[in-house]
Amino acid sequence: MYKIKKQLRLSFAMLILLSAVSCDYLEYNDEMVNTDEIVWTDVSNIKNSIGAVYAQLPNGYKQIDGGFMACATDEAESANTSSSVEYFNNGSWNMFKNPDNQWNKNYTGIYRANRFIESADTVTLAPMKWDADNWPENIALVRAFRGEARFLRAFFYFELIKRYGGVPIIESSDEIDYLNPGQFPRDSYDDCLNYITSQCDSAIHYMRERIPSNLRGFADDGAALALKTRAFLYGASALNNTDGVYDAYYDSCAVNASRLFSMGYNVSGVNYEKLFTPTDGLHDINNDVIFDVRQGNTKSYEIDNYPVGFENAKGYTNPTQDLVDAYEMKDGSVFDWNDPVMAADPYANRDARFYASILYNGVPMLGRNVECYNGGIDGPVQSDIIGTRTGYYLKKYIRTDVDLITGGNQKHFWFLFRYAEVLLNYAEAMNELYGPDADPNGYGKTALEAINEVRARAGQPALTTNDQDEFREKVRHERRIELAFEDHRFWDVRRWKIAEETIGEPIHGVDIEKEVNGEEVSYKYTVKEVENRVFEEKMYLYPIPSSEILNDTGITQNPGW
Amino acid sequence: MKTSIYSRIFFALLCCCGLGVVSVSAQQSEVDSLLAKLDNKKVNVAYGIQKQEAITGAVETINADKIENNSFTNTHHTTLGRFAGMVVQQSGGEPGSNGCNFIIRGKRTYNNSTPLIVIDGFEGDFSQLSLHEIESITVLKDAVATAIYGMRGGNGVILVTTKQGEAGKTKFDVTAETGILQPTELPDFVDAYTYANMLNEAHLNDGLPLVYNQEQLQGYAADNDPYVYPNVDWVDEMLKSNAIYYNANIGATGGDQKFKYYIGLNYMHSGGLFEHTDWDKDHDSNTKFSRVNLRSNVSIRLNEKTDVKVGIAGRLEDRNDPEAGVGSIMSNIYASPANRYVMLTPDGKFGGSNHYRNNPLGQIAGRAYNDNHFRSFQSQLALTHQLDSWMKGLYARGDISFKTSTSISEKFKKSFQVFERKNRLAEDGSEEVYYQAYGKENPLVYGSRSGSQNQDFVFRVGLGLDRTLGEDHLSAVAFFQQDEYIKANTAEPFLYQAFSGRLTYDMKGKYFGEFTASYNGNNAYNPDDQFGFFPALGIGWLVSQEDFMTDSKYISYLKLRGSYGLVGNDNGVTRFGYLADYVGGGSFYYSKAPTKISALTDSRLPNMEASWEQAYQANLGIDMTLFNNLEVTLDLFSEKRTDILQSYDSQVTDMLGVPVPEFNYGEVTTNGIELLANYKKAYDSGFAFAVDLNLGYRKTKIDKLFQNDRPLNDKKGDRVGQQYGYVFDGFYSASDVNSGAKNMLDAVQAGDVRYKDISGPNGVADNVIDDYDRKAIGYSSVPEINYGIDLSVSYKGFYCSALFDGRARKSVMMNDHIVYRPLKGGFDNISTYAAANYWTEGREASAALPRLTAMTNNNNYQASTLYQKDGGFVRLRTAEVGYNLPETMIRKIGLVRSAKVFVRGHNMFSIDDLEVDPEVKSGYPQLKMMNLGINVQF
Repeated sequence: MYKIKKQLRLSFAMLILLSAVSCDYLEYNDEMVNTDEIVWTDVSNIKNSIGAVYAQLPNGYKQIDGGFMACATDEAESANTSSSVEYFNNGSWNMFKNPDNQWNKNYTGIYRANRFIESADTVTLAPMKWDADNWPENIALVRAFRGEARFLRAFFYFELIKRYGGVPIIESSDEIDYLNPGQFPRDSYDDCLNYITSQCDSAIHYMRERIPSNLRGFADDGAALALKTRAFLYGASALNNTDGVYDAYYDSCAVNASRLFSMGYNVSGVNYEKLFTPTDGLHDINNDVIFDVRQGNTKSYEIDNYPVGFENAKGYTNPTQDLVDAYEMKDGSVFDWNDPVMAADPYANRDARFYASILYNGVPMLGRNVECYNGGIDGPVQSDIIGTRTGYYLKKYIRTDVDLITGGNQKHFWFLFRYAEVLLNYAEAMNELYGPDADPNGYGKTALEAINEVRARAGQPALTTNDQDEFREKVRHERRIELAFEDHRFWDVRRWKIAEETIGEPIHGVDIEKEVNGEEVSYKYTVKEVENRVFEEKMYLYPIPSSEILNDTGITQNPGW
Repeated sequence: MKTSIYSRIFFALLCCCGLGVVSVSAQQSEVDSLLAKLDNKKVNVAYGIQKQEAITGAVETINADKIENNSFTNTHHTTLGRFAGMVVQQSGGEPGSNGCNFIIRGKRTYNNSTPLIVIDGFEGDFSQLSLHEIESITVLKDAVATAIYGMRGGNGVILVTTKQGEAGKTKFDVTAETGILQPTELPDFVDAYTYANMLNEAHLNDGLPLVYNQEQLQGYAADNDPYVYPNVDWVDEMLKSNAIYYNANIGATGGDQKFKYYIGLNYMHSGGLFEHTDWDKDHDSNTKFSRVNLRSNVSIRLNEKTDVKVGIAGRLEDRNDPEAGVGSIMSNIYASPANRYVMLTPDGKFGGSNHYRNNPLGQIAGRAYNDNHFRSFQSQLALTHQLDSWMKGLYARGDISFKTSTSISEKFKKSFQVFERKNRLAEDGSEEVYYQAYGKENPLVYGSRSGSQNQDFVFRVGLGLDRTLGEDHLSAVAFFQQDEYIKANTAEPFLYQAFSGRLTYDMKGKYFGEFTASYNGNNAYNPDDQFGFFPALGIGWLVSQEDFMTDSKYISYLKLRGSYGLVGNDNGVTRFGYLADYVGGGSFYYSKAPTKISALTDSRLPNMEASWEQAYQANLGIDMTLFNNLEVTLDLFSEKRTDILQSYDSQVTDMLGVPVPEFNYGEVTTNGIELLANYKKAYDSGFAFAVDLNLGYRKTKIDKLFQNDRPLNDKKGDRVGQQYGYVFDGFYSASDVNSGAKNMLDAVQAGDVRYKDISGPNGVADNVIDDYDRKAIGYSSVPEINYGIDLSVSYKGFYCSALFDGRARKSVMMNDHIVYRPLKGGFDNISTYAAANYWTEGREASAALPRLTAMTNNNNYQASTLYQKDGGFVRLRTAEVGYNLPETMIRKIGLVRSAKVFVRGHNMFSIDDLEVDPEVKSGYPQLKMMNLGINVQF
């Protein structure tokens, strides 16, 4: 009896143990997960969700393998020998390796925007109504975000079509059944363009008007108009308007640009140099920038681009002689190496924008002079790093108030839309429609007036030509100078269809010999060829990435690839 | 292959001993006693012990004598060269972090192929158990052996069993040994003059301005002005020729029928190879590792029905590392060219320049150290209660295990300046030399402390039956187990539940049947579908017990066995794949500050059906003993692995804009063969020898996969982990650089690598070299063949043994290795191998490497047959000579039962095809060890 009791006790104990084994032992702790319901009812989550859409915007400082897009144009050469930007320059890029393959990134942005629009369009914020004081404000915020998501989606599509030509328009997040994706023929460039501009219109319906400086970084109605302006100008350009069918887009460009004339933007507030390296407060009075991508405080762009003689600096972006020569003299005349006075002192009396954009031999920087000559501490030959390939370093966007060694990060802004660009877009479009000096529809400015506003800030004399062809060259030149390193050149030469004779030509630099003659130090400048560049007809458009071709998505490859 | 003078002497010594032993003769040896032990061998299996004869699955075991007679700094290494069915690959060279990856029966999945490791019945890792506290290591290979672990057993299981008490008078076992650790093989780099010339040549090739002028080159050639023209052999200056190792162990076992115990205490220390670590008298920045292990395994018979086993083990590990990091220092030592900067300036400051701040001497002596502490506590309790009064042979058993470990790192900080020699004009107009400082110097300060903790809690309750029925024998276990693993930096614990069991039936000692199964679940999966059922069946026939065999002269033992079953693998799977996963998606800034918004987005779409891999495993085996002395085991196996979870992303258009989930899609078939053989013989003369051989071969074949690496040909039919690349077709010469297929990889010039045009978009060669021209080349990096040969001979008290460990059918790709890739990043070092083999004028025909370049070249360093090397090797893993003191002498000493002195070496030499160590190719070097020790038992 005793024995049985004991065994009963034991088995009883085991039963208890077994019953302690809970059936839902293996379940996930649900409270730790963000469900759809939680995300789309809470204003801070919604704000973070629109942040995820914004996060897909480009960062031009590091567009290609950590460098500027400018290094794939005749603006600059990269001294970073491991950068894949060289694939563009030596023509070895293809559908498998494209240093600037933005397909995935932009479609990811589009998916997130679609998700946002689908979810946020029906958001009532009902669970947050208890917070009656803030509720109207929150509702207004969500409303603005709806517009911003539409604008961003349009922006991503424009990023795609300027690279790949017409792409399939995916309008909702569940349009593609991933188990059975099916075929996605490309929409035409023109369809895409119309989609982009109409999306901008519906975005403007929701978006905030010119937002105050403490909210900049978010897009407002000005950004949507600026995108329309740019999109129409591209649509009317030679690349996409081969037989003049789309000439009307010049007018659309001009109309939308003119709407921005009266919205408080101007180019006269901040000087050109300070514009790109703004110190505190300057951004409040800056009415040139329409929309920018703000960076977390950093010094990595300075480390990458300071002349190599500075501690830690890498000196990657080296402006070309071709760009340097393009800067006018202060009096508006053209620089010429054959002029002995100019050649002897090539960096004197140039356009103010030259001094704001380029670091050249002898320019003072942080308590010393930049030494780009052979043997100089920033010169081409270093024992441990590749020095400047061209004889120049980048100044634009590069701050001098950071400490490369100890920290001292600073804020940086990558400009996606500037009013100066809108003026130049307008000038180009008006010139094509009506010539340099006419405004028959009363948009507010002639082409000459628009371009001269831009030149005036730099202190360059006003243009006066009344010849359409000459003005076309002038406005192209002005874009090259005013918008250098801002990721325009790469696209401008394509849409104008002049890539072969610009970025397909060899680029140049300068060889600088220091000559010491007693007390006197002088420099001898010799222009040299730095690199042969390759541009083929097919490169006007990017190849559709290999994954899309190999996955049989129904997308036809661009010609030549 | 490279061998140092030490290892050659050692090996010669070894051979002499062997020869000497063969030529003499006398009496009884310990090999004999080993032979005696063979009878009635018992083997640890999952949750129990089985008689060798009754086993129907594929199981391999090594016992304490193969484990404790080693001096490895990592206990994982005892498995090297010992198992036919398991490939062991060392992951690093630094003591304390030189563990191994285990791959049982090949890499049978695209995901994690790590086996489950079980120590005394509970999951754990044995890398830092002491060599002396382990009784046996068993590898379970097939379904019937592993199905009891359900979805956790598919990659095989390693069972580690620690020593248990033996009844009897207390026996002590004391070992003390000391030795040295040396790098097996270090790369050689060129001197300053050669480097300067070669860098100039590279720049000339690239069309860049030359770095050194004639005067500088002459300076390097003269090599008589070390401050202006440095010529530093960094490898030689920064690494010692050897580091110290010592190990001491005391084990004690004893007790009576009621109370038995094993107690083991072990201390191990291994020093570091860095030179100049005592620069600062206040601290030592060398890498050092010390470890203390204490274990107490006690079993108590509470009454005639109830037994309790208590196992408690604790471990302290302390590791000192340089602040700069061992990996970073090693790569700087290798990457710093001889001429780049001086080690020290004339006034004793570290050399360097603006872009070279990482003077290896500075990293060692000018920076601080990290003091890492790892503390581990393991405890377990097992209670067994006989329930004979309910049913004869029935018992109940409960196990509980609690383990915790803490890792704390105390980081100290210090920084140094580097100085570059420069010239400037002095005020009087003359040139003067000065040293420009870069960086900041900071004294040693306390930096930070970081720590992490892990905790395991597992319990198991069940019933067992062990019953003889006439001539037959039945045994069974059934239990429930629940696991909880709380891991550092993982919010959700890893949870498992299992109902498992095994039934074995032994009919007349001739026919054996075994059924194992598990119904187990993992919280990583959709709550509606977390559990899977994994059954396996095994049968065995002891043919030698049949009447017709009992008289056989040649075959004294013959057993046939076979098994089939299903096991699962949940290892390395994305957890909670069934949930929409809202996570960060980058960040966005606004306002002036700027204010940051952390983006929130769904990181991927969910898959409600994500599940474990299914492994259908079949095994056929034969065990036999021939001529009484030759034991042979042969296993043939085949596995079909299905439902391998794979990313589907590459198959879906990127226009979707969001990653798609993983699906259970992939399938792999693996077939293989394993052979174990040992032969032992002892002569009356006293001479004895033993040969122990293991050999495994297996081949994996991809049946189904989502191929993300395109446009490669369909990988179906290839092995898992197959290497792919271009086919090397010589070097371009100046005359034919424009002929042949157009190279789309990069602009080419003479001396660049030419590849074969294999295919194109239309499946045929298209006269263009691009991504279409890659194909399967060589093997995978996991060897298909591994083998071990253990030889031992003894004569009287002398003995010597050698373990050779080999791998074959393995490929390694060396295209990015510093020895094969000169001037990486433009300015890295050049190995003497590269200097002797690169393509240059006058060496067009014999070159083995392309022309020099300081640029990133997208053509020359592609994975290709040019850089693919045979990764196979044979290594003398362990060699030992020793002397057992004769009994007559021992008796004089008194209490002592036995005593021996020995000299032991590990990784003495290797035969291979590489310019680097075949196992540890970069980072802290692979270590060779030479060791002297004594062992006394009393």
